[in-house]
Amino acid sequence: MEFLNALNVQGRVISALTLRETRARYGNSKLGFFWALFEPFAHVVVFIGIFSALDRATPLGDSMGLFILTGIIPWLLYSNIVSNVTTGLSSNKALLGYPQVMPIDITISRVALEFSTLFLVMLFFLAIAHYMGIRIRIDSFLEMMKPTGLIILLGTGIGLINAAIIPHYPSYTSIFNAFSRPLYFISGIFFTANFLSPEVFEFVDFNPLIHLIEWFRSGYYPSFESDLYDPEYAVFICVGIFTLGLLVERLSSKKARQV
Amino acid sequence: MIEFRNVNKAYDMANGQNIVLKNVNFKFPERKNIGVLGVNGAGKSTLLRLIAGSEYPDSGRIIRKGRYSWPLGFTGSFHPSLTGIENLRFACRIYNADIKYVTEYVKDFSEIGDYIYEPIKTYSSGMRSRLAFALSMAIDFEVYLVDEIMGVGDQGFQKKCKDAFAAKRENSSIIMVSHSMATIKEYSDVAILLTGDNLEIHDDVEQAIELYSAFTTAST
Repeated sequence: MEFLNALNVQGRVISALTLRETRARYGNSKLGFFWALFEPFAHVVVFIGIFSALDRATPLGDSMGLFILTGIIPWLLYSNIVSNVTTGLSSNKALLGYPQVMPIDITISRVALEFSTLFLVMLFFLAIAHYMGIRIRIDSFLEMMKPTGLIILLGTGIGLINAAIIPHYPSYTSIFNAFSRPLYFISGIFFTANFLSPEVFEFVDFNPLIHLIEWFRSGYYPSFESDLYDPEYAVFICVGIFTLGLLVERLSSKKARQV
Repeated sequence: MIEFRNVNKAYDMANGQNIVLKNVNFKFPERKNIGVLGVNGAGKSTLLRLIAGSEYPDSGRIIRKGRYSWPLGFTGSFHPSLTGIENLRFACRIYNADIKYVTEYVKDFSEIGDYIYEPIKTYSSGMRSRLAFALSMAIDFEVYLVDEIMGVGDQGFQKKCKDAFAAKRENSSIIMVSHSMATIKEYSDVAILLTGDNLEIHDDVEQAIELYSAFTTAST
């Protein structure tokens, strides 16, 4: 009974926080949701431009736009979750004055909002592509959702670790950014892993994102089965980092409540 | 019902630690209005935040049954970049209160007018506490935790607060922190003295105030 009651309270808190986050992001400026659409759109347009200037065909399927989209959506899910979870606590500190608001609730609501936003954005672009006469055929929705779930775990874990480190070492933010920006180029957003020579792949193999994006595309494209991605490695890294993030959050959440 | 079991609480300061509570076992009297006395920095506000659950003890347990308010004070739990009305809705959602009723009540009670649609960071501290006070009156609590808030606003507003509390007496009680001995005397049935690392209860408020005054003069 007490457990159900606690669950009920936490449900109320998370939904109130999600509403608040949604309003903060999309409510006050009309540009809010437009920006959520514009960002992936800009990536897609730039790469279509580059690829056609190089006179290159799409590596997969028959639409360049869809190929980039299936890479950029998981990437944005990862990087947006990292940045939102990293700043979540510090920008909502005041709300921790309410005893029933736990630091983890803030994280959950931000992740939920990010996931739903990008889910809608993906649907929106698939609908646009459909109207433009591009054939949409999803191989396996489930195989797309598995790497999506892992990306959520990975992004949340890294965000929680960042949030715990930054109060102690403020300069860590720029170090983290410097190291994570190059990831964009080695995560397989605009290429597939079999396009790389084995030596190069060995070099980027450590990056869980390239495995996750390959997996995501294998789920989307009926014609594509990448044998380069390693689901076990991806699961191991994502679950590991997520667990570490939760652990760090536990240890630092007592401090988070002090004013 | 609120009970402290082996509670320890200290703050790290530039030179050493400031101990607020050390191995405190304490049962707060039920259904009594309690005034908390203590010198500056003894941890009165921290005590309220521990009771509310806004802050956790370093060790030990705090057992709490019933509906306790968040600590009502100048700083409050309001999010500075959200408007008054957004903060109000947030509180209603997490306390499961009726948004429409609370909005009407707060608009009427707080007297902050159209400022309710502005971000909290544009408020004066007086407006902030009036909003906090009105909101807490609209959401029913069994125990109100009040941190130096009784002197808010003009005399008319103070009278309104007093009347609102009087009407709540039936079902609610107060635990309050104040520098004003007159306020403590007026609202409290018993007094708790923060002695530096422990809690001392006094059934006679006057006597507690005397002890406290002796304590403050001795320490200055």
